[in-house]
Amino acid sequence: MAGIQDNHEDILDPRRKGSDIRFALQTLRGVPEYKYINQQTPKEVKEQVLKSQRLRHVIEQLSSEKGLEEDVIYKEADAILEEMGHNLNMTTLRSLATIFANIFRQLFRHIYVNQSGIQKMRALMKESPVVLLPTHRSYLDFLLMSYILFHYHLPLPFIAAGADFMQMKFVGEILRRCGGFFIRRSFGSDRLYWAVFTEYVQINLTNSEGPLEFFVEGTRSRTGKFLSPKLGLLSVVAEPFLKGAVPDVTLVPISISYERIVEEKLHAQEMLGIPKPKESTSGLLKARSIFQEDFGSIVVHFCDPISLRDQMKSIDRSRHNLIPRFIFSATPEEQRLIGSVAQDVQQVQRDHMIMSPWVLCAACLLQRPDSYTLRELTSQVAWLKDMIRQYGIQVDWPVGTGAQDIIHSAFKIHHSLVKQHKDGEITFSRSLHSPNASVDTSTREGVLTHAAVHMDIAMYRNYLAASLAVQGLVSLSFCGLDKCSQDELYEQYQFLVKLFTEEFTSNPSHSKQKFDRTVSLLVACGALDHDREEVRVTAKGEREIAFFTDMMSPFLLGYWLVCQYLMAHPSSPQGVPIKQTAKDIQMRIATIISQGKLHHYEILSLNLLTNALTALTHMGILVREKSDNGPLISWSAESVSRVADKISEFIQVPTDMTSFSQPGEVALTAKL
Amino acid sequence: MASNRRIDNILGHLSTPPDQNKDGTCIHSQVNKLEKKNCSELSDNMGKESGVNGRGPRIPKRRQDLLKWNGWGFRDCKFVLDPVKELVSFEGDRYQLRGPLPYFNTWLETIEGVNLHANREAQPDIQADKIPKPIINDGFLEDIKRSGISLTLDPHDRLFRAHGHTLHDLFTLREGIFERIPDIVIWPDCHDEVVRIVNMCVKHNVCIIPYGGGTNVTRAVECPANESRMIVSLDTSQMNRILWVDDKNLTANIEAGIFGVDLEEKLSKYGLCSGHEPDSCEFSSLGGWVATRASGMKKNVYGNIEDIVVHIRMVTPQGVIEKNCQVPRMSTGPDLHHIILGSEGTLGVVTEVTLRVRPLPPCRKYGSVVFPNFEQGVHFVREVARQRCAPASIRLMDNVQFRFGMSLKPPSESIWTSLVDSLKKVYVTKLKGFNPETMVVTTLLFEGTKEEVAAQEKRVYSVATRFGGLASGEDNGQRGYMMTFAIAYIRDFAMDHYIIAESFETTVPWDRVLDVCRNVKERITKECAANGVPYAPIIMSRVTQTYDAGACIYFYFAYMYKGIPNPVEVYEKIETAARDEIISNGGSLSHHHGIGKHRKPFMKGTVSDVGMMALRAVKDRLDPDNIFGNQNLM
Repeated sequence: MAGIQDNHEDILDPRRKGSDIRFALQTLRGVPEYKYINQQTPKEVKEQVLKSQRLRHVIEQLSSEKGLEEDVIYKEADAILEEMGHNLNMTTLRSLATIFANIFRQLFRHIYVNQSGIQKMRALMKESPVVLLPTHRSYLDFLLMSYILFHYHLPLPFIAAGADFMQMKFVGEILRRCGGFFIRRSFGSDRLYWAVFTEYVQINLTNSEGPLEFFVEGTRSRTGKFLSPKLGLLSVVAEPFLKGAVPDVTLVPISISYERIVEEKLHAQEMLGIPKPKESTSGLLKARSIFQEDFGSIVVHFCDPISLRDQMKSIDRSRHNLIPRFIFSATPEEQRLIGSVAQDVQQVQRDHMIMSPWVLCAACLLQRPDSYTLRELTSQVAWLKDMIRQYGIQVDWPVGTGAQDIIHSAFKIHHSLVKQHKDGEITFSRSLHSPNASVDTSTREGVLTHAAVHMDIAMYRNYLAASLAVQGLVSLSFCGLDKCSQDELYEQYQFLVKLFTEEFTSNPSHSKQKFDRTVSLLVACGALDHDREEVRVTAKGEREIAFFTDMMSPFLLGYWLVCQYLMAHPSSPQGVPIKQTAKDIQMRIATIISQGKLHHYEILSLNLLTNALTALTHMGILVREKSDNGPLISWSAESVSRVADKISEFIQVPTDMTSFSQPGEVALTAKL
Repeated sequence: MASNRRIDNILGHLSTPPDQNKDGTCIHSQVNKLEKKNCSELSDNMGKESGVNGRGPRIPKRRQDLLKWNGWGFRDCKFVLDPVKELVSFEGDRYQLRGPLPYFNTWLETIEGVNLHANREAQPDIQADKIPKPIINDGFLEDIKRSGISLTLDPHDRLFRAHGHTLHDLFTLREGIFERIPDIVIWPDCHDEVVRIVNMCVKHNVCIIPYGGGTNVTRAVECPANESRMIVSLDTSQMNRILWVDDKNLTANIEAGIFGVDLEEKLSKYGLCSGHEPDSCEFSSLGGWVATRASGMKKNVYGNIEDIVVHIRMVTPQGVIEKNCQVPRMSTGPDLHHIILGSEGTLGVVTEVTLRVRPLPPCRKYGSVVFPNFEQGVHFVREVARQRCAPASIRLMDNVQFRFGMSLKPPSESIWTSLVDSLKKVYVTKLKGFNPETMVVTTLLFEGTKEEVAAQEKRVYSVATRFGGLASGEDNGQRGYMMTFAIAYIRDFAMDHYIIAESFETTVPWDRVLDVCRNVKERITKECAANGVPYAPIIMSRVTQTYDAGACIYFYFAYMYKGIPNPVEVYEKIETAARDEIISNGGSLSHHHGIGKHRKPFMKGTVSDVGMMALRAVKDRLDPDNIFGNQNLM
């Protein structure tokens, strides 16, 4: 098995040897240029947006509907554009290159990049507009991307960033000069905003002075899993191809694997419902203490480029011939296909995530918190490494280093999460902020404080869970038995896929195919055995299937608990806010944990609880209605209980759940 | 005067034209005297000479005596490679293009993989015994022979009428044989004879495929392989008279078999012209234009065929379809002409057409404007269309085609760097930004009175200046038009050297012109690679007609195919992909070539299911026994 170093090069290496200033001022050579490039200044682009037929059309509509003067709306459009527009500027970029070279060097040991991916992308940048689609786990993602492109003498990207960055003084402006443009988080039906945004992105795309970059997930995933893809930007990108304005669009999925996420603590807190601080420059300065920390390495994998044309082969583009190209139109079939493309992009990203040894540690530790010794853990992790490699999971496992040293090194980087005692015992930190403090977990507050540590560890475990989700779901589908008929297995599996659409995103149209492939893979690896009728767990497979089951069961348990809550608390007919419900459930679960009846802290994740509610809504168990105060949900205990019963087929569920039926107030503010 | 003409016409009706088959040599010498420049000039020159030799069709019944049997145009005109100097030259003196072409080799070599030493020889001829034997319907043959109408069962005459000029056709002629060819060729002499032939065919259930000039590129006259009835190739070439000219109404009634140049020549004797000038006008017929909805290069002044026709007479199996008056427009339900126009010989055969005609323009002048790049050129032609100030013809050639045109210069002139030099003399400072790798040319043809031409020129050139164009002289304009005649001959030469060359066309809305040109080039390049073509293709495009709402784009492309075992199949895959790309990008299935059998698969998507039903309903009603069984369109 080749190590990461064999097919990736460390781009920090030359920075440790050479001058940062020379790096920043280097002449960029051989920068690939799109053969139909159209060079425009940011100002010209903005003018073109304002002159566009698309904008005029929408403004004419709005003007007649709202009785406003067109001039007034044009001014509004102008303001949107000012707020949105990038101002890519090489001078700023070069000065930043020095700073970032320095920052990256301090934070990280290595930044590994696969050169072969860069080469493929470089070649295609001449042929068609390119869209970079990195995974999004950290704020650093886009700085990192621009840095890598600069390093390889590639054109710098235009990056779609959330408008919240704009609030940060300086940083907002700097981002703009790095090619960032800002998109409001939600502008759903604001037609003017859509028009400006669509035109702006499409002009930049078709000009193709540099690649467009955005995150399919829309926002950072704080859970380590993949968020359901957002399709807005992808549709905006697909439109010029569907309407012949570009010959093709090349999509480049990029998998960024961090050994340690810089903002991991914030993520853990957010999962528990502690609001994320508004992005502010002073917040960033406070974060300076992070410079004393060791964040390990990053592996950036540029995956094989995907041609949008190939993906859209089945589409009859001539359907768009009957309306002008400036009126947005996407047929339901096209929208489905765009959704499918997004899922496939994510699949490619998932396939190229690199698991650090710490991810494997986290996966083991969470299954038996506070009960591993270093020796046991070492042997379990070593087993896990070999086991998952069978399934094509890439592990960054240094060749020629002892397993225990590797785990030691991982612990060093993640010292705030686990403690190794003299007797070899390994325990979780009690609190994220003061690892050595003692926390009383018989109180709800204590439970939530300690839960943050679990959240963090679970985030790393989830890298693996996301990559092995199908194996996990197939294992769960055995329902604890050691054999099952093919059909039954698939039926159970299908239920889980439906239940976990939010939890583990995948392309629904490939569901059966994936199931079949995974079963064959498990058979090939000797974990399962099958004939025409039956699938059996082999003796060798018992440990694997048990591992996969244990990895996935907390999610299922969480969903079951949600059902229990809903059954015990019938909704009022007008419905209750979804956020509020998730929060209530979280508090109930915290209580149960504090009573010692449950040990799965990770179920306290609001992300998991909300996902469960959303999934039940998709399944038609909950009824969701819009209101002025956000979405409301209502349900009947009966239909919920059917789902709960179904879930209990898969896993052992707790018998004593009296605290759920206890009436009583729930404290909403937990101090952490 | 007018009465004399009428008498001439009547005499023309009565007299039987001499059977040229008996005296081929006589025809040959006669035709050779007709010096031909390019088509526009053709009518002038011929006007002078035909006073001497005004009788009989220019092209004999045995067309292969004068025309290539397996390629384009006259037998005595072709591109050849000088074996000693290894230079390409154009043989024959019918065209302005003639003699050595010293710059052409260099251009040819820009086609990847080209090797003029690699020869792919065509079969020299096809022996009569290799040509499919005719299927004979005895009753019909007896009736038709008794009628005295001119006919032949000669295998080579039948073979000549079995095809058009698609790549598929030429490959078959050069290297194989058609599975099914017409069983008999019949030359009716007038409308009445056509009526009699159609009646006999209905009576004996014989299939008719009307044949005009045979210049189609749609496999329109190809015999369906599954046609088991006797097939008549109804050759209209003997029906080439102008029956009358009405100079009060400026109309002329003409037999549908007349070829373009002959039409202009004959009209010119009256000081008139039709102005309809498709690139094929040397060899294509009036009836063919009507049947395919043809378009002429000078449509900006004269209109396309549908604008020019005033009255059409078509013989169908149910009888003759025509209107009862000859007026410019009428509101009498859907226009019957539009059922006939573009019917591609599926409903009947067009026998006589009344055209509106125009006085010959006293002044004709070429022009050209160069632009730094294609995009600016497109903006210019679009603006000309917006202002509706287009001259008789305006065409925008892309850079590749521009260079191609330049490479056809004769030795006396130096290659196109001299164009830049000559421009430099005129525009010392303005020539910045003109890169030989990107610059393009717009060719112009002005027609009208001297004053009109001068005014048009002034207006067009002032628009050109606004879009960064520089006027680049009459010669470059004229060469552009000459090129379109030459290019048809080049294909035969190309095929001798393993090069596939083909053209196709479309109409697109203005906002998509640039996108379509770019995307089609990209698609062809990709498809060539994907289909194992070892060399990159060369692709050129031309905005060849402008309209208020869009433009006609003409593509040429060529590639070296040596090493591909099934070149025609691969080529057709690529062409289908290119057509798919055009349609996906908002272009039409065809602007003027038509559908035939070649583009039939795209027809339903183009006109909708119900549209097909409507066409089918007309066909079934007018021709219930599918006598006109060429299987085009549907």
